[in-house]
Amino acid sequence: MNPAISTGGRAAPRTSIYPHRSVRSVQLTRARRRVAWIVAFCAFLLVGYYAVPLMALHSALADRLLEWTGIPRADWEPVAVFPGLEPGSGPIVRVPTFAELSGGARLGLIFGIVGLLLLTARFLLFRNLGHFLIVLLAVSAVVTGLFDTFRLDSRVFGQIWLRQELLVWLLMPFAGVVLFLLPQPRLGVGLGWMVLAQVYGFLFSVVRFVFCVGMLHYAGLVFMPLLWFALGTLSDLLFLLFFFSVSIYQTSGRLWGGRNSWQL
Amino acid sequence: MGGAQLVAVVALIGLAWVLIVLSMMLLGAYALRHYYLSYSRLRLEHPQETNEFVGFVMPRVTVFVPMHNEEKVARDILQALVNCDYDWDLLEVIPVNDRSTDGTRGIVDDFARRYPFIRPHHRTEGGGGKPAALVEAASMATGEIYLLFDADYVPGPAVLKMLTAPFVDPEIGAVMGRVVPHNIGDSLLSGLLSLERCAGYQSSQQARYNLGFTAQFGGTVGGVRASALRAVGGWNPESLTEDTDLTMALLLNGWRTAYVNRAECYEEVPQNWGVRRRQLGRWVMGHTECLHNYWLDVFRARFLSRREKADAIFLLGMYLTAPVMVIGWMASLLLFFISAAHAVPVLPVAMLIIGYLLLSNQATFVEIGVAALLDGTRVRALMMPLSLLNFFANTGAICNALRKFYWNRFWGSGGDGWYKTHRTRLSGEGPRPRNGAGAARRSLRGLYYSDSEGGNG
Repeated sequence: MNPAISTGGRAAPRTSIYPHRSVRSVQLTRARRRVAWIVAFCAFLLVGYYAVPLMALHSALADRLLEWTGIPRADWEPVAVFPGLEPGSGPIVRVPTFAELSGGARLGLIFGIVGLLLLTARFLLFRNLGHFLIVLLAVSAVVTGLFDTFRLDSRVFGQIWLRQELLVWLLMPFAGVVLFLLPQPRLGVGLGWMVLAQVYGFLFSVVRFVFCVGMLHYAGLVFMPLLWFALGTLSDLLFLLFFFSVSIYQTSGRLWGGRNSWQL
Repeated sequence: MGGAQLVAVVALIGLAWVLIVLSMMLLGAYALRHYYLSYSRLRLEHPQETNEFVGFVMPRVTVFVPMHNEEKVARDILQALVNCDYDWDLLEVIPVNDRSTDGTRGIVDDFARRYPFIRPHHRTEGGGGKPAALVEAASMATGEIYLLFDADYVPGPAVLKMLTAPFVDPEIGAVMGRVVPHNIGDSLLSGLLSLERCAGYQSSQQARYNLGFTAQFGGTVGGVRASALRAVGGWNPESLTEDTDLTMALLLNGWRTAYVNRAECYEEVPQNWGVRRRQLGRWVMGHTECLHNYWLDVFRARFLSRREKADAIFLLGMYLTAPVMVIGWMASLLLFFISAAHAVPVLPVAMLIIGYLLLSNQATFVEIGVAALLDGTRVRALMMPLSLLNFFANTGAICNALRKFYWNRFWGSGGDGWYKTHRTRLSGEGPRPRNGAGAARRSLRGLYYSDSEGGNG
C-alpha cells in the first residue's frame, strides 16, 4: 500500500482521498483479542478468589449506609449464597405485611400507579415500559394483599441480591471485554474503563441494595417486584450502557478527529 | 401444602423454567449474531467494496418514486434526482403518483414539463399501496436497472452511479444503499431512531454483505435488475413489505443482493411514537408474512450454504424475538412469586442465567455503539442508554402487531393494509443553495434543500 495514503491501520486500504465512514474500521488483531479475553478471565478468577471478602465488604458498606440513612436493622445473619461458598450476610429489618402497611406506604402505592399512568399518557415512548411497571405494581399489590403465604424477609432478599450481584461482579469482566476492551483502540484506555465499571458496579450495588432494604422496611413487599426489575439487572445494564456510551463518545473523538461535521 | 397444591406448584415452576430456557436459547442465538456482526464490521473483515466500479458501468436506469399525497416533499426528491450526475440520456425518472388528492400531481407535471427524462405515471384506479403502484409503473419502464426512492428521501448527486456500480457483477440482482436520517434533532424519538438506523446499516447490513450473506433490500435507496425482477415474478402486490419479499425471492432464485455503504441517502424518520408504531406494525406484519412464505423454501434451497440459510432465517424471524422475550419475563415474574423457586441454585446454572442477562441484553447496544463509533457520532452516542425506552416501546409495538397478524391469519381477515408514513418536512425549508450542483445544504433541522427553480434545467 502506498504509505502516503496509509491511515495507520485505522481504515481499510483504499485509494480514496479520505477514509469515509463507510470504510472505517478499528484494528482488532488476533493477539489483541486473545489478550482481551485473557485479561477478562484473570479478572474473573480474581473476583472469584476474593468473592467472600467482597461480599463482606458489600455488607459492611451497606450496614454503614443503613445506619447513615437511619433505617433500623436488628442484625446481620449469615445467608447461603452458593453451595460450597462461605456464606454472606443479610440484614434483619422488620417487613410489614400488606395489612400492616402505613397510610404513607399505601398512598405511595396509589401515587406510584397514578404517577406511572400520567407518565405513560404524557410520554408515549415510555408507555410500554410504564405499563409493564404498573402491571408489576398491581400484581404485587394483589398477591401481597390476598395471599399472606407469599413472604420474603430481608434476610432472604439479601441472599437473592448477593447471589445475583456476585455473579454480575464475576461476569462483568467479560462484559467489559465486549464493551470497552475490544472497541477501544488503546488497550490501556479500555482497561481503565473496565476497572471503572467494575468498581462502580460494586458501589452502585450497595446503594441500590440499601434503597431496596429501606423500601422493604417501610413499604413491605408491594414495591419489591418493581424494584427488583428496575434496580436489579436492568440497572446493571443501564449503568454499563452509560459507561459504554461515554467511552464511545471519547473514542470517536479521538479516532476521527472529534469533528461533528454532519450531525449532532 | 397439599399433594395437589404441591403438584401444581412444581408444574408451574417447571413450565416457567421451560419457557425461560427456550427464550434464553432463542435470544442468546440472536445475541451471538449481533456480536458476530458487530465485531466483524468493527474490524472490517473481508471488505467488499464496489466503489471502484462507480462510473464504469452506466446502463439505462429507471428511477421510481412512489408518491401518495407527497406535496410536502415531492419537489426535493425530484430536484435532487435532476441534480444527480447520471447521464440524462440514460436516465428515466418515473414519479408514480398514486391517487394523490393534494398538489402532488401539479408538482410532478411541472417537473415533467421542464425535464424530458421525467415521465410521470398518474394512477387513478387499481389496488392501493406501494407494491401495487410499482407493479403498474414497471410496465412503462425502459431501464435495465430499476432504482427506487421514497418520496421523502433526498439522494446525493453521486448516489445513482454508486447504486448502479455493483450491477457490473452479473450475479447481483439487487442493490441496497444506506439510509441516513436527517431529522435527528427534531425529537427524542428521531434521535433514537437514527442510532437504530446507524446500527442497522453501518454495522449489520455491511457486516452481512462482507461475510457473504445476502444484504436486505429495503425497497428504497436501492435498485433491482429488471431481468432479475421479471425472473422472480415481479413485485408482490399482496405483500406489506414487498422489499423483504423481493430479497427472499431473489435469494431463492440464485441472485445476490449487494450493499453499498457509501451510497448514503437522507430520509425523514418518524418524530412521534404514533407514526413510528404504525410504521413498525407494517414492517412486522409484512416481515412475518415473508417468514411464513419462505422459511421452508430457504431450508430446502440446495445452493445455499448452512450459514446462508441460518442468516436468512435469523433475518426473517427477527420480530419473533419480542414476544419470546416477553414470555421469558412473565415466566421470571411467576418464579419471583413462588417462594419454593427461591432455592439455592447450582452455580453454573445461575452463572449461565446472569451471563445471559448481562451479555445478551447488551448485544443490540454493542451493535449501536460499534456503528456510532465508526460513524464518528459523538453527542448522539450519549443517548444510547435512552435507547432502552425505544427498546421497550418497540417490544410492545411488535408484540401487538404480531398479535394482529396471527389473529388475522387465523380468522382469514385481510389485515390492516398499507399505511403511508406521515411526513412533517416541507420542500423548501432551510437555507437556499447558491447553485443546483450538489444541492446539499442542511438547515439546523438537518435538511437537504433544493430549489425547483434552480438546478441544471
